[in-house]
Amino acid sequence: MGNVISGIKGIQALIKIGNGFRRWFFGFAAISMVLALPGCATYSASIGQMETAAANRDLDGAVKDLDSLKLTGADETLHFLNKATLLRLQGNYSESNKYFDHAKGVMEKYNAISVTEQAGSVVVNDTLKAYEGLPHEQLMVYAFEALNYLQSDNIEDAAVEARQFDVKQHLIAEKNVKAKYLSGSFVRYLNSMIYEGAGEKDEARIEMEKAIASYKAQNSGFPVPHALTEDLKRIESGKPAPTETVFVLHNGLGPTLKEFIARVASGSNLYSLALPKFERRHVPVSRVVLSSEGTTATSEIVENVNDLAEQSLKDRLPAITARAIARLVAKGVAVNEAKKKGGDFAGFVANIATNVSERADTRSWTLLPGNILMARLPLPAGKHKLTATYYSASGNVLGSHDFEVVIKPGRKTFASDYFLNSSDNIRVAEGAETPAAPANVAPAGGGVPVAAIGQYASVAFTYAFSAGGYWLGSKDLEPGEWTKWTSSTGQAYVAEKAFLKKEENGNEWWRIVFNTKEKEKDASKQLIFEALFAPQRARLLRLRAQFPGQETGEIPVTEQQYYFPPSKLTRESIEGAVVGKESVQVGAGQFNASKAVYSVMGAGVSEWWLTDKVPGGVAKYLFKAKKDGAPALEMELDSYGKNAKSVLGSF
Amino acid sequence: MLSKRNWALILVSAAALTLGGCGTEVKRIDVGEVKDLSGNWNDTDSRLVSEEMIRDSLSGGWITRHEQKSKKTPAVIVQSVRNLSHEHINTRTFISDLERAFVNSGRVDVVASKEEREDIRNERVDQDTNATEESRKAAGKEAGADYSLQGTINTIIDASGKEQIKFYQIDLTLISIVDNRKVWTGQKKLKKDVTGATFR
Repeated sequence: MGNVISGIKGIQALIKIGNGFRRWFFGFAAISMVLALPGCATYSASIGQMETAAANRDLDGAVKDLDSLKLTGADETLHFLNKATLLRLQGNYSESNKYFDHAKGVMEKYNAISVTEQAGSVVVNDTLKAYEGLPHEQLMVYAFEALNYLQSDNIEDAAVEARQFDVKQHLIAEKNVKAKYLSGSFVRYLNSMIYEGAGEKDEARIEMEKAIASYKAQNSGFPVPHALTEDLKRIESGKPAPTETVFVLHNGLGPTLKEFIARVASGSNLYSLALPKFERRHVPVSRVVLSSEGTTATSEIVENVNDLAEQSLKDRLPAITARAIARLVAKGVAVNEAKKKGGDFAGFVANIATNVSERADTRSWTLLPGNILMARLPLPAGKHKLTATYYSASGNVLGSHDFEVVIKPGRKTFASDYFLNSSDNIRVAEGAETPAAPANVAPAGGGVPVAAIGQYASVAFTYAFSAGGYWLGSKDLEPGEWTKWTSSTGQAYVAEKAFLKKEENGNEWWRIVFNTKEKEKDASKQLIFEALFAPQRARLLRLRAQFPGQETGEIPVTEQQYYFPPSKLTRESIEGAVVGKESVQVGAGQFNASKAVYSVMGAGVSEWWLTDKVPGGVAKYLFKAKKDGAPALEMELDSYGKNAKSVLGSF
Repeated sequence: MLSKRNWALILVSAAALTLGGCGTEVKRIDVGEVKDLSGNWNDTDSRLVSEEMIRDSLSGGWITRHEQKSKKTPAVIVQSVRNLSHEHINTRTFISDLERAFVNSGRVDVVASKEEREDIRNERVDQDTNATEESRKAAGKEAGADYSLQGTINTIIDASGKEQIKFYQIDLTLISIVDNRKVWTGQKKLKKDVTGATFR
């Protein structure tokens, strides 16, 4: 994650430049950060239910699940693509093509750049951009639309798709010169069969040559399909096309993207960088054996969609990372602005909002198959009963599909089926939840949306337990102990940290109180969080909060919280950082402390005064950007004690 | 924290942005008005093709030659117009225009196509069983066509970046069913320069 480190360095430099955009940026950034607080679930997490239904061959249920996701606006391309795929799997070819045509239309529309979306993606996250369809997905649409026509016995319209594909592939190759995987080999192979079936022998031969060249250029780890090489030899020698059945299998569920978030604390701020990560799902069927009246044919892989998608992400990652870093800078500026306009507290809240709004764009056409298998069985003209049997890599029969065809002399008949994974292979959304709409609406009095408070708190606790990312104290608080802190720099700071109670099952209740310098004396203006954690503070379980001027309340806590448990440094690391003994005078007393110095991400220094005489083991700590400069943050232990009790009625 | 006033401002502006288009807007336009939206084949293209084909076919010498030779009006059956293009084009629009022009001119007879006569033949069979003796229509009295109308639509597309030059060529021929000679060929070429939006 070298990019993250240089990104942080970049922020501190660019914040100076960014100050010029102050006025405009504060308004737009702050508004969009708060309004656009996204649902907790990323796209790939919420689509899991639809995929499970499809895997269980409950396509009607899958269609319902897809509709309930209400993918509109920026995501409408995905609605059309997934709906079209489900309809195709159901055998409703003409409806499927209607949706594929819609998809083509919006993909074309979103080709144009929207300035507002670009701005939004810099300020909030990439999911605000309209989904245009990845290039390899755009090419696949033609293959499926053509198959829909072929399976409806309409070769003329299938040929139209083939011709459209040629223009599109040329345009895509023009934009992505080095991307060999965007050759659309499977589509070309299919198109060669279409042209030959439509009587265009020259077109067919040219397409076969292009297909073979594409497979070789793509180099997807599987050989050029043998049947294709045979086709070319045959057509060059002038022999006519055989009468046969072509069977195509949608094998497994396609590639998906997961979210990977890196969080880094620098100085007193927390920064997040969210990137998509490729996840390959298991492809169940290793080969298909097509049989009828004694003759059999074994399938070949004709496209490895997983490889295409993986390559696609590799190609896009530099731009995605660059945008994410630009976002870090923009959000850093916004946080500074919030601090200037609304005081330290506003700045603190804005910082948390920037972290919460950082989500990865995990959108992709997940109903694409993992790979495509094709089996071709030559049969005489007439009616035939066929069986396609699916085998796993170890030779077990996974399933089979019986169907009937009527073949015309000299023509091909196309048939297809799908075999998705068994439901346990589908990654089910990990506790993904979209907060109910009301929670995201600002309360009438002008406060913070309820769902946001939970996110704020969990990030705030992250701060509290590990200042700058780590806690250097040799021990932590015992149940009942509390520590109060003061800050000598102009910051919002953790005024109090208390370990309230340890329950029998190991869960822990903690309290943190936040203050701003100006409001120190006024208890009613304090921000108080009391939270229940899993043992060792591994996860945030429950939260109660009192926001300044508002009622104490139970705040919803979902499975997906942005809370990071404290990292413990090794004893050797702390010993290595100790530079000597130093006497320090703080509100809690005078201590002969061990002074430890750490460099922070190469962008400054943190200094710690450690002593076993106080709970938590730390009497004072500070951050500064330069070794000899003034501290950006300085925290001193003011007082400490035992018998901390809940003040919010938590237990 | 944003004040009440600021929150109100934000919500009002957000509402204003979304309320923009409430209710569908319908505006009737003249059939002859040219309006090109996406650059794809549209009704204007179909109309231009019909006009050209009608004018050309009715002024062709084949009608006169046929009348001179056989002393009867020529009969035409529409067979297939193959779409060899890049777009899913509905060929029925200009074919219907052509049929109508033929019939209305009084100089050419049009005979029901293969799909259309299926229904008529079924009707005759039905009449045989159910209609009265006088009103029954006998089988074997269909007018055989003299000429078959066939055609193709071809396209050549040249594309780069956001610009596409689309060239359409529609070819129709009348082929004599007697001796396979082509007695008339009509051709219409159309060319469009389409540039996609850079911003939206």
